[in-house]
Amino acid sequence: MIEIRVDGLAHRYADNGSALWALRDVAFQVEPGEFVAIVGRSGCGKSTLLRILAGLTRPSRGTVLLGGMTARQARAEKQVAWMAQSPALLPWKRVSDNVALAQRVNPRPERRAPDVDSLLRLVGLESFAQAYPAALSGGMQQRAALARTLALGARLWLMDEPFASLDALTREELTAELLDLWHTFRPTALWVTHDIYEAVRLADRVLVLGSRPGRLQAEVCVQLPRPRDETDPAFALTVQQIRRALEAAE
Amino acid sequence: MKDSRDRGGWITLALILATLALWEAIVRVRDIPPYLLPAPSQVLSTLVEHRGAYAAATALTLAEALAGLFLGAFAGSLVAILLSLFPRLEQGVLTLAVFIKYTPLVAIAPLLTIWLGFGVLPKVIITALLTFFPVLVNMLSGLHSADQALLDTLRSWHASRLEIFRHVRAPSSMPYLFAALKVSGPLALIGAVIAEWTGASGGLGRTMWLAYTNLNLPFLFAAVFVLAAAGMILYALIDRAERRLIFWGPRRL
Repeated sequence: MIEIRVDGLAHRYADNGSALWALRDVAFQVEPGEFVAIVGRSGCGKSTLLRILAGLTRPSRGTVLLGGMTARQARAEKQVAWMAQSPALLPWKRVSDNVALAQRVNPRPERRAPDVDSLLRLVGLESFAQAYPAALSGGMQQRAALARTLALGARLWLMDEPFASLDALTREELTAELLDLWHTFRPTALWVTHDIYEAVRLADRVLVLGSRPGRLQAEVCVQLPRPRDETDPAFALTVQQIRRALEAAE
Repeated sequence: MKDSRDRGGWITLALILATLALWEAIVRVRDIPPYLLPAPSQVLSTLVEHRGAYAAATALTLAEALAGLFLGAFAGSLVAILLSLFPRLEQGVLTLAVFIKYTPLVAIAPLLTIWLGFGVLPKVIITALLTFFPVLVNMLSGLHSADQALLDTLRSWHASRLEIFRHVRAPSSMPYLFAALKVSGPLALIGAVIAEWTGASGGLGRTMWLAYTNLNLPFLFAAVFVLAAAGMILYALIDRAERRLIFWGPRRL
């Protein structure tokens, strides 16, 4: 578990001379072991924010501290598990090799890495260890990608709508399983989504990101016991609250 | 899938046989002399009669072509890999490569023969030069073509450039390498033959040249047939190797 401190973060993409601000004056903190969701419309810069935290994009301005380290340092230490929308499995490697690759690349021998077989069992792919990704369905590919993310043994999860391309049912299933895994491993988690219900189902706290340039509009604490019941009036109320914040952001 | 491929093979064979039959008929009906156009049957009997000589010539030319193909593919891949690791060199090296590419090999071949003699070496060099450029350009775009999501994933683990090359870029470039080899393979044979035309102690090119200077057209045609067959076999071999090695995906490039 590590905490996240983001301060005065701004990022712009150079677009033929005229600059496009993707993020502006973003500041927030996430406590160790907290599950925070970031909601916003498409193009509000939430993916950019996550890429900056993962050390993939260097921000134009501002500071990011992950457990006292810069994003680059945290990446070098493999403290950050970043997962994107596409499963991004290497098609020429078997499922188990794909998962193991996360441990073989930039190895951290000092850390006790989770065992690949038990990870595959955890995501229900134990009988597909020797299969190639092309033989798996979309949902199973995301499960494999999830196992690979877990294989890092990282203390911070950065998840960029990892299940967004799946059908609604598979998506709910996987989201529920992910929540179980989060309870097991207890990392700090930052979950980006455009789905308000999903955010309320998962998170301790929801940050609402406004569009163009992305900046924080509101912060909503979700004080409901897990597992959360969508028919609960308090659930609906929280959803309403976030929706209003999102609409006000325009 | 396999059925339709088999059927395609039969259709090809039928077309070839029909063409040969038509050719034979025209030569016989119009009574065309063999020093202008020999009938396929005559070409075939020449081939069978001198099978030993043709086999030796084919083996030599094929060996030259394969050696050059291997050398050129190796050098082309190596340069492409270096350029992908040190992108700053790309512009300069590519300009040089284009210069080599657009120097007509027909012009260089006699020079190499003058400098290096009638042996195997000038043929291998010509063939390698012919192979080098397509492999370089294709490998380079292959190495650049790697899926951004895969690259990002490995970067998020702080993978080194070498690790990214080994696990993502190199496998991604394999289909491109084979696309280049499919073009260069048959081309390599032609390169070897052209080099032999400029002076050689053996090979199909020399056979053709001798036949040409003696206006022995059945002999010349026999060599052409063998050359075409060798090119097709070479292509089929590369194609088969590709199917074996690139099992994962966007196959037919």
